[in-house]
Amino acid sequence: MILKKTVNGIEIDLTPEEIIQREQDAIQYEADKLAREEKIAQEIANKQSALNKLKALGLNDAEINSILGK
Amino acid sequence: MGYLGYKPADKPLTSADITDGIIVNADIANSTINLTTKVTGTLPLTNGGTGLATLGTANQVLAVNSGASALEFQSVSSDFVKLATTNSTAGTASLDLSFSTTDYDTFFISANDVYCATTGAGIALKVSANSGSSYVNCLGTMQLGMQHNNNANILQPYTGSTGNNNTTQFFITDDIHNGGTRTVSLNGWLNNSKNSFAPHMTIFNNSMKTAANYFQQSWTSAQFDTTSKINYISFYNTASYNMYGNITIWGLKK
Repeated sequence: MILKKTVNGIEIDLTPEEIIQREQDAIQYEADKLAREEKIAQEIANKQSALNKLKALGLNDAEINSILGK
Repeated sequence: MGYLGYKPADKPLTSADITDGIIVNADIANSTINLTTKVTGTLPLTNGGTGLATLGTANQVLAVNSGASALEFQSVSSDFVKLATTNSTAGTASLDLSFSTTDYDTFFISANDVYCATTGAGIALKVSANSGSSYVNCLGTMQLGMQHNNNANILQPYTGSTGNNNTTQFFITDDIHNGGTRTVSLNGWLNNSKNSFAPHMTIFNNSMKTAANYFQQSWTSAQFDTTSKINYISFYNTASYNMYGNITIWGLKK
């Protein structure tokens, strides 16, 4: 575990409270990261589902790209 | 002077023997006046001098005074002032800056070649209004940053929003190491706004070397939940490992 921070170029020992806070921050960061990854995965799945439904309606790729602005 | 009969006794010429005002410029041989020992007083501006007989202090410059009547030594003044810098080449848990807000509401922050010691760790930012004793929650609705794409093992701009996350962590980037191939440099602004409806915003333009020959950029911004002035910022490794780099903050005078 790293026990120092650098403030204005000067190394300072982290207090026990700061060390605990950093451990909590790391947990929070991992949770936030997982939430971002899940959100992106869900957006990709939603997009693919929408494309499949459009194709099922008979639209070809050019028509789909046209309404997507591609 | 010639003489008849006995030669008159030699008599040294003295100042009293010379009538005042009869020696003119032509009587003085060229290039003979020693300016170190043969002059006194201060050469005025009207004669090509400075009107000054003493030197200023270190790093001062010669300038015209406020009355436009004379020269004087002045300290160099700027509305753009470097307030603090911090760096680590040996590794540190966080790169922090503590700075004065007395003369400033707007700050420019520059970070260069910041990276983490281990693969998988990211960079985030915290801000404090009490010199680091506690940190302020983000009210960010545009917390964009560099997201790690697990499938391609690359960083890519995160286009979503974390919304009102009510945590102190301001997301900058995911994995900024990847075996030492990734670094982030960012330039951004911190505004200690006086408007209580839109206080304390920060915006960064992040440039990242994401692989040997790959370069990407993203924007990150956040709003902070405090009406007190932010006077401390901390860039830190999200996984509690070492990080490296250089961070500097400048203030713009009100």
